[in-house]
Amino acid sequence: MAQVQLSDELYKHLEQFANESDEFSTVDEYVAYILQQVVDKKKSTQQAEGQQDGTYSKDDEDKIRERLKNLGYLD
Amino acid sequence: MSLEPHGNILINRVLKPEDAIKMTEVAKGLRPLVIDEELVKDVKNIARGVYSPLSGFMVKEDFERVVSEMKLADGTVWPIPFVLDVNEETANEISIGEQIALVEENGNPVAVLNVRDKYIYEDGHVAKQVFGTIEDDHPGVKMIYDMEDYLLGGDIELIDNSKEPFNEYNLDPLETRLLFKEKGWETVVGFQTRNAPHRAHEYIQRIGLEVTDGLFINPVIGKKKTGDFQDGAILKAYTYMVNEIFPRDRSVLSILPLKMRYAGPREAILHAIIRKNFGCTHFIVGRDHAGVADYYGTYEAQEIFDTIEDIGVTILKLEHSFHCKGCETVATSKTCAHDNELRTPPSGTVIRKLLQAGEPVPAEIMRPEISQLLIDLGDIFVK
Repeated sequence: MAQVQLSDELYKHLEQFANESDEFSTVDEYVAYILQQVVDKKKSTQQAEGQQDGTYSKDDEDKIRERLKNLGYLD
Repeated sequence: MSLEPHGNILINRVLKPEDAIKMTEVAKGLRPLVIDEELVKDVKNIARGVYSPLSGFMVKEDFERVVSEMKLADGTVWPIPFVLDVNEETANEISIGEQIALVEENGNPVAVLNVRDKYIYEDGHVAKQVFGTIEDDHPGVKMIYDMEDYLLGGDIELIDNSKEPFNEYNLDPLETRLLFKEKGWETVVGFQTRNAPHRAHEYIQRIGLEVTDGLFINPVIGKKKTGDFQDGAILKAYTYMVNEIFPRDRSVLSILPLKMRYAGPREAILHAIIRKNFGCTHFIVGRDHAGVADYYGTYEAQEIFDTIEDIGVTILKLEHSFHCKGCETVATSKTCAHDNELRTPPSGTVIRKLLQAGEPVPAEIMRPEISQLLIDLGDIFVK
């Protein structure tokens, strides 16, 4: 497991929030949860930008078209 | 017109081949969690966008709202929970924020799960809400009761994008969407089946084709009951239909590996959403769609669409069809005035008995060439 360093002040705040929560038994769990949310949001944004709601890059499209041809779905 | 995927995003969590190789190495150092073949199907379907906008197994917020309101936490209509269950001991070992490797029973890594949530649930409540009953005779309810006590939620990243068996019939939503576009189809009707085609199916498919540009035949492949048609037989028979019967430029056959939950009306919504993600604008829902025994009313799976927000797919609500000697064709109660004595519905039991005995099904029930094709295949029913 990787470790990160936090200021004492920030750690105390996080510890207080974690203690007040029913869901997190440790600061580690609380911090991991928050960071995961950030990562998921970032990934989701990247994916939305990259895919533009179901479209794909020219390269991806060519590969898909090739597979469809190979399988006999397209002439 | 290209229909937007459900939730307006087509999920793609399939790692590119070079990333999958790296992730396979990473996965070796992660805690492994063995999942059965039905869960493998869900993992692959999520990653390939079949269940868009789901990008992983549900976190508590989504799960609870789906169970109680048929909506994801953000308000998107979603009828069935997709969850990953683990026992208490495993749940205690896994931390939120941890990555775990989802592996097949043979140890092959399928995907990585980024654990975002772990929670408990009340199985009776879930069964009652989702299936409308708490009786464990209902196969979907039994699945809930058989689940472990804890659920893990979080996004997945797919390592193993293999499509066997039936790779040649297995298209992703990205692929079907491009295919429909290339064919110039602006409207597409999705047809779900778990059977080899008979005349009544064909009648319904033709109705769909009359009102749309293309027919997407999408058999559900996977675990079946004794006496059901084997997947290979269904595919052979439908290959004949798309190659020889329907106009070749107006029909497509592709499979859907999916575990049936038999949730009747809720499952009909799921099936419609899945076809929307494949690019269908229309979806056929017959009487008793995805039901089991007599847990649901005959028309419940059709009527439920009138009670939910518009999901953006036109539902073709069709009656059971039958051959009528008076009409001298296949008809439904909406199009035939004759008495029941003149009507022959396609009985699965009769069809199975005849084919098992190597005898053709009457031509008014099943095309002779389909009968013969199935007889020639020999062992076509699940034992």
